[in-house]
Amino acid sequence: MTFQQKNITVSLASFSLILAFFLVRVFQMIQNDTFIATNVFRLWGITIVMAIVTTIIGTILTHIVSAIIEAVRTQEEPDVEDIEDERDQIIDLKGTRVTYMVFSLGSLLAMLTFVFGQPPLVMFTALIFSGLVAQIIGDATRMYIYRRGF
Amino acid sequence: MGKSNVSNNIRKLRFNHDEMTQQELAKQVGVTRQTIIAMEQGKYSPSLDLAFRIAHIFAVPLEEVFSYEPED
Amino acid sequence: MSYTGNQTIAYLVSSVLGAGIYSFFAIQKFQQGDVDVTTISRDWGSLVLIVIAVQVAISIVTAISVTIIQAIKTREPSPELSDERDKLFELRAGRISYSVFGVGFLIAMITLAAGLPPLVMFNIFVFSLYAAAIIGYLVQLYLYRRGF
Repeated sequence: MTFQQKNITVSLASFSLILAFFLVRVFQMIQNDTFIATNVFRLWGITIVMAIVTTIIGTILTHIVSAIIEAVRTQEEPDVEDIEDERDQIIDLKGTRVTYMVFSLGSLLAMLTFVFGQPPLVMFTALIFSGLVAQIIGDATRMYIYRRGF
Repeated sequence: MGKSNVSNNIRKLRFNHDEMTQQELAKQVGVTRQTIIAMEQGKYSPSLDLAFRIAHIFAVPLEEVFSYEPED
Repeated sequence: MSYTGNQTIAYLVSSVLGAGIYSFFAIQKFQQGDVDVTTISRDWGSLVLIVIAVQVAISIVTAISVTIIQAIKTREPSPELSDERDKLFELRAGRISYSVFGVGFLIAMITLAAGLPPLVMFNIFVFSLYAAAIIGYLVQLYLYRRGF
């Protein structure tokens, strides 16, 4: 596994966790009848901050952990392959395109819920949901392309 | 990505060059080992730039590294 | 310019038109003065969807006319596939679009967090979708101009 692949794995795992957390909180709110603006917006904020923080910290942690594992395994100076070559770049771009498409489509669907008379809160929740799902599908696409070779 | 019409002898050339490892080649041409593997398996067609760099490392003309078979 | 370059212009034009039509109706709504900014009424959602439907129709028409004009001008059938260079341009432009969209998304949420009404957030959101598309097409055109 290259550094890029490890990075994607970490990103995929952390976004899946964030999505799970988000869904659990939303269902809790619906069950307790606390699905109201303040709660939903707070959840929004938490989710976004978590997404940004895990993206940054995840990359750094991946780097450190893989360096340690490498050093322990080879008993030598760690030599982490953190370059992004031309193939990595194209795979990254392909993943981003998938994310963008899913996100845009999800936003439109979110607006569609709105036309069918659902309250704005449903739309906001659907927006965040589609953002998280888009990120996960994008990472999954990248992983799939790496698995396949290209 | 459909199957490419370009095949290569990278594996053989590595073997003939003091059994150079994929990692060594990757380092010399500035890509990851995974990219070398993908190329040897015929899954990834490198950019012209990378193709020339590989040929340069083995000190052979490009046609000795890569060959092209037109479709039937 | 190549066939795919011209298609990009067609999509760019239809996105700009779509954004224009949306702005026109949105401004009209505000000028009528019966907008309650604290809630978002259903017709805002409908407006977005109608404009998008119209825009899809416009882009189909412009794309077809570009193909016809090109065919008349060059007297050759148009190439159907985008080649590897076209695909790379698309991917690169896609990344720019995504970044613009992401930034717009964040700005929209910051307005909400800053206590501005949801309708402001909604409109920023719609505009960031348009800005992402338009800037993406512009980047694609720029790449075609530059050659790589």
